[in-house]
Amino acid sequence: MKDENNALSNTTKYDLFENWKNLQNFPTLGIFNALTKDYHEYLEDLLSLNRILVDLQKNLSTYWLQMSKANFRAVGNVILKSKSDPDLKDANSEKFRLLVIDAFEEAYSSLFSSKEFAIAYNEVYSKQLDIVNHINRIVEKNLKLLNIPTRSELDEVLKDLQEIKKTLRIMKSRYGKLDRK
Amino acid sequence: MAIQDKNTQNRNPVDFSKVARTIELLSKGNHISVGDTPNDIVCETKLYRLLHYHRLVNRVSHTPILVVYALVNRSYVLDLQSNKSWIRHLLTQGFDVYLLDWKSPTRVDKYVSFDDYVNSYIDDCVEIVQNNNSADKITLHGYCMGSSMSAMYTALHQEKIKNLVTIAPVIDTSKDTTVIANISRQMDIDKLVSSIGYLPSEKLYEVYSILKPFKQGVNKYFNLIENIDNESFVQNFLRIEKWLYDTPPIAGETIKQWINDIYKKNLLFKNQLKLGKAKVDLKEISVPLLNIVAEEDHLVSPECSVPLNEVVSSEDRRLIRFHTGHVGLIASSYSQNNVLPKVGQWLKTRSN
Repeated sequence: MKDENNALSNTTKYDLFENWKNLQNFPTLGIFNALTKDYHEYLEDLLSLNRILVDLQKNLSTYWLQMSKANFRAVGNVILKSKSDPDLKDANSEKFRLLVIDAFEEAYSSLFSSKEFAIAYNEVYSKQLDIVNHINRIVEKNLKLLNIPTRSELDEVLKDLQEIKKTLRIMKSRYGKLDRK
Repeated sequence: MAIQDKNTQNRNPVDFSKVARTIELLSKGNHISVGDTPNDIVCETKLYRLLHYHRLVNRVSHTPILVVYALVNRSYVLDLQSNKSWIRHLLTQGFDVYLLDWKSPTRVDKYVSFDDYVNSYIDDCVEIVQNNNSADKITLHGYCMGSSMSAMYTALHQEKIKNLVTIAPVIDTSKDTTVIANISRQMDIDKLVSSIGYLPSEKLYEVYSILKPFKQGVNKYFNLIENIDNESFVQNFLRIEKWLYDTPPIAGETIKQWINDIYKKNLLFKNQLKLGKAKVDLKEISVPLLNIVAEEDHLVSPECSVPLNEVVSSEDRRLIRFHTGHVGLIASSYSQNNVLPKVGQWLKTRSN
């Protein structure tokens, strides 16, 4: 089944963003250069974010395609089995409910245990994280502008704190041993 | 009110009043009490509590037991309700029981690693239990991820351990065929930690929901509707449900090591896992070992847990397999009747 969303090649899709990037990088002169400097940076951020969104959309298509295939397989199995057993013709029976549960369990469990699903699932999540990272970068830029500590700077502090806690614990334990002697 | 088609055999009447009561029950929120066995908090820090349970019978064992719970979900599954409580059963067998109950890490704990959990927090608790009971050695008893941590601790601090009891430990991840292992092997955990700082609870629920999506995820609600008038069934359902949706996040460095070193590179089994400067060599373990695995475990494959008995040097080592699941091993009538008597028997002969 051809995926309509992915019909354009990657080069064509990204060309759109590249063209905007080239356009906004046209040299400006004098006062216009100074006025457009920040604007250029924000526009570039926005364009990169769009690029990530396009990739996410592509990964989501692969993910949902796999989920749909599992769904079709499960429904197919339910139809096949219910046709062959007259007891299963009644959709309200307990037996029919168990058949549906078993068929869906089998189809989805084998999908979730497959390597291709693990790759598709993690690629979707990875792109979602790219969006978070991108927004983080934009926020960090603004925090720097406002002279507020950024997340990466706070991270350094947290790392140092953990090291200090460790060192303190070792010192305390050594001191305790000496004290007991 | 029941509606039934007279012409149809084997047909379940749709009892809408039962459906309505189920919806009402589920929408009320889950305020059921759990972890009711009386205990004292011996020590509490930002990341853990050490609980000491009150004696229920005369003590028959001189070696105290420290139970190390996993970093996922909450430890009250070991004391879910009195007639299915792992802790209570050990107490009634005459053991002195402590429980290491992990608290929720926050963003500030991003750099807390397995080195901290094993060499600091577990070690601190072991020392407290030793001092409280004037015991040179204790029994270390882990569940799931807590079993792996107990094995790591025993390999590094064996002089403080008399017996090691593990339930469903994660050891040889190359043999783990579960959905969790499958997802973990492909996960870009470095990106997750650098972006968010920890593994959020929601991500854990997401993975749990695809473990047995229909047999457990959907069918359990049909069973609840059918048994809505059975008080004991409903109470049990609510307790398990509360536990399933109650998990703390996992600190950044810890989950990075768990996924990269243990699941992807299998370093714990290869004896190459490093906690700080120390290398964890499971061969170093020579204390008596009891390893318990569940044949139908869908969270940790039995094939992943069993190799612990092959890598340790203990002469006294035993592996017991039970025909149940991951939670069934510790919080079920089956566990009370089949698993715990054997654990108690094994411990009693090695705890004086």
